[in-house]
Amino acid sequence: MKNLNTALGEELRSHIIAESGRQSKERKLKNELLAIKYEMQDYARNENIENELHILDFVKKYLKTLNLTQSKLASVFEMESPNLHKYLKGERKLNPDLVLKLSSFFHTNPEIWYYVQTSNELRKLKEAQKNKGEYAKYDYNEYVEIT
Amino acid sequence: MYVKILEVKSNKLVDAQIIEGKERMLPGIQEGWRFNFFKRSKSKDHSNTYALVVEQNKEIVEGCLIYRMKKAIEPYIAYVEVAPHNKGIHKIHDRVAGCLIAFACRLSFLMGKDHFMGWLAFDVLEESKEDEVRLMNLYSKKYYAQRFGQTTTMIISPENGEKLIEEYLETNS
Repeated sequence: MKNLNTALGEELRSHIIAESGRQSKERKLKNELLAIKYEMQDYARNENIENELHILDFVKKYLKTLNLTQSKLASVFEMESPNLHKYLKGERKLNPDLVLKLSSFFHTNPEIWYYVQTSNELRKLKEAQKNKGEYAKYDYNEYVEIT
Repeated sequence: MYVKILEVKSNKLVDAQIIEGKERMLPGIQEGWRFNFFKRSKSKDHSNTYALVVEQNKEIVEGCLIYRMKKAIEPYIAYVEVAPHNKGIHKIHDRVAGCLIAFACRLSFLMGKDHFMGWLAFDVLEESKEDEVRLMNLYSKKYYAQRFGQTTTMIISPENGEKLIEEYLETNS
C-alpha cells in the first residue's frame, strides 16, 4: 500500500508540475500577486506580530514580482521618488489619492493599505498602554470644577 | 479569519470565524463526527487544524479542517468535515464546507511553493465506490475540483481556488 501511495504521489506531483507549467504567464503572475495580497490581509488582522512590516515591505514584494523599480512606480504615480518613499515607509500618512493609485496598480481593494497602516499604529498603541499610569493626569476631572 | 455562513432557518448570513483549533474544542467520533479531529490534530506531520465557529457561540464547532503541507511544499487537505448538525435536510448552517475548502485554497497560495503555489489536492475515500463517485461529482460541481485521472484524488487549480476564495471568503469586503 505504501509503494502504491508513493507511486500515486509521484504521479500527482508530476501532474501538478506539468499543469502549473502550462499556466499562462498572466496566471502565474496573478498567483504570486494573490499570495502577497493574502499576506497583507493576514498581517493587517494579526494582533501579535513579531516583526513590524510597512507598506513599503509589501510594495517591494509586489515590485519584485512585477520586475519593476520603485522609481518606475513613482514615475507612474506622477510623484517624486523620495516623496513616494516617505509615504511607503510610514514617515507620511497615506492619503486617498495614493491609496487609490496603489490599489488600482496592484489590483487590491483600497482599504487594505489603510488596514496595514492602522494595524501598525494600533500595535504601537497597545505597547504604549502598558504605561497607562503615566497618562492618568490627563483627565478633565483635574481641571474642571463640577458643582 | 472572519467569514459568513448561512443560517438555514432564517436564510441569513451570520458572522463566523475560522480559527486555529485548540485541542479542548476539537470534536471526535464520540460527538458524532466521522473523523477524530482531536486525535488527528496531534499528528506531527506539518499539519494544522482549523475550526469554524459562529461569532455568537464560539463553543460549538461548525466544521473542521486539517491542512497539511506534503514535503513542506505541496498543499493538501488531509481531512475536512462539517458538524453532524450541519448535515442532512435539518442542517442548521450551510456554506461551512465551502468556507473551509476556500480557506484551504487560500493557504495554498500563501504556503504552496514554486509549481505548487495555489494548487490544492485532497483524496475522496468512502466505504463504497458509489459514494466516492457521488462525492467526487459534488466536489467537482460545487467546488470546481478536478479528478486526477481515474484515482480518487482531486485537485483545485489556482484559478478555481481564486473563484472559491471570492465566493466564500470575500463576502465581508
